[in-house]
Amino acid sequence: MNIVIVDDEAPARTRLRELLADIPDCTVTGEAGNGRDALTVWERVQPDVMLLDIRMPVMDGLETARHLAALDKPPAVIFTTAYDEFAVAAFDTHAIAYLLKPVRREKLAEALAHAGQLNRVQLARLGTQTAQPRRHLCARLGERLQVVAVDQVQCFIAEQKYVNVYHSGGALLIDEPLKELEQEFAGRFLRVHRNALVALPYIESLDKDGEGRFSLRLRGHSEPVEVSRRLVAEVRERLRGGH
Amino acid sequence: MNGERASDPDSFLPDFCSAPVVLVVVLMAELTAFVLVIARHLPDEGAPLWLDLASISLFLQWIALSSAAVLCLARKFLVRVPQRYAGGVCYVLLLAVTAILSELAYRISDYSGIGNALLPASHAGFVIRNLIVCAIISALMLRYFYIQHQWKRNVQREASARIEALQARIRPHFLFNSMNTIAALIRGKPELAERAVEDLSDLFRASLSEGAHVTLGEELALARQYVEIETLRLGERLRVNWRVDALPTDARLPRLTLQPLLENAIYHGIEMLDQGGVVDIEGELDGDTLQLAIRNPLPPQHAPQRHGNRMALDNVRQRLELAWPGRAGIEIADAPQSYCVRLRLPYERGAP
Repeated sequence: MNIVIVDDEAPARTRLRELLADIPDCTVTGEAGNGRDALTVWERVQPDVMLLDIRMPVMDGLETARHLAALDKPPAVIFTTAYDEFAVAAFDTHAIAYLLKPVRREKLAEALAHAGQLNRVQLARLGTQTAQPRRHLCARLGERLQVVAVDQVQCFIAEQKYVNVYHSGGALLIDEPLKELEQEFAGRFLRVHRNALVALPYIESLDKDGEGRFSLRLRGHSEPVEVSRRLVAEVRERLRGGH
Repeated sequence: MNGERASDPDSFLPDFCSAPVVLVVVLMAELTAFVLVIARHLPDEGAPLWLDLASISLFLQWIALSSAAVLCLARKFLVRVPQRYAGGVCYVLLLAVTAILSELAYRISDYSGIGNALLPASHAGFVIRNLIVCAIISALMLRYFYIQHQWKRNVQREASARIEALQARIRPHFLFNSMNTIAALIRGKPELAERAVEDLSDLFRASLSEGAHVTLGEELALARQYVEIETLRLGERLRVNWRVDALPTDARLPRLTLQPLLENAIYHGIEMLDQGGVVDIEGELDGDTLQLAIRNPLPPQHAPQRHGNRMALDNVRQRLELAWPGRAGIEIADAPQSYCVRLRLPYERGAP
């Protein structure tokens, strides 16, 4: 069984590595110090099991699990935590595997024996209880994962079935409805058109062309984003409110 | 101050519908009757003292019970009135009850001849005298209820402050993470594990200690031990810049004032940064005021402060307020990328 250990604390990783060394048929094939690095490690080694710490910088364990669950062949996930009342209560409710630190060897062995993939339903339920917008978006290109921080995203432009995510480092394509993105990131993104959400902090100006059509100029984004006529008033309102 | 209910603990007025309060009112009225009768009769006089006491008691109890009844009925209204006016409204009600009943008593007495001997010649004089007595007694009584309420509230506050202090000091997150670190160190670096256990013991001994105050020197030593434990766990991510040499180590301050603030800085700042960062601790003595600032960097998308943080802060603030009412304080500067807590407290030398 190939296992990847994800924890931001070096001693915590050491301890899990030592415990796993004592359990037969287990190989640690990778380690990561945060969720974002964990996704990179997943690409490289595609482990059977990921041990995910909950509280981590950059990307926490819960968000990492959400990105993993969207994969075609997601690994089994076991969460680890020193203390997190809310998450633990939620895990108990939805029969999601977790271990309390310091982890006991027997419990670890038992959890590995029963480790299963997290399904989207479980995670969706978990999402409503520990609801926090994701801090990253993740796009799949075959076996490759592209991760972009939400605060780097300038706008979402829907195109038929997919959504184009334009960010400071380029663009990527994700398979999520614009409506759901709008709900999840309501504080940061504003609907300006049937097919467009715009990041408020990136808005530079609202312009009007000769034919009375409105568009937004975004910092770092060359193409102006069209604003639909009926949403102009709301966009003005939000801009005046200093977002 | 809206949405106050009938059982509002904020209201200093007791429930005049309840038996114990009515008993207090009756007792106060009867004591007043004694005072009035004794004041009028010298002990060696053979005047009909008991008869006098009976009629004055009757009259005073009549007023007292009616007042209690009026305040009982008015309670629904009184709890909706802002606190500072409620006392005044009560006072006016009490005076009104006295005026009306005095007027009634005078007329009944005048008409029927009962207790005629006690009545002064002047109608207005009788009512005015009663009003003055009522004004004094009511003021004393309201003041008594007010002070009793304040006292009860202070007792409750102190009790809850103590409980919160205990909860704020022993953070489960810190305890279990430290235990995990120690478990990890035991095999490979037993001497580090040993030191961590010693440091952790000192911290918990301090947090369970009864003594409310320590010297700044002791508090700083404890804070350094705390940082040692966290450094084992976070490694190079945690860097602490101590600039506290200008502080007098004999200054007195509440135990565990700095450590919870440092813990906040690490929990919300350093732990959430992939590359970690520097916690700045800076202190200076400005005249007879100690200034202490704890500054930490924040992750770019830091979530709004959770209640855990607030609890530790409120707790420290409360304890400073208890130690130096109005003379100590905490200020918070919450910038997008950094967070700073500033403490200000009077310099008092503690026991060495």
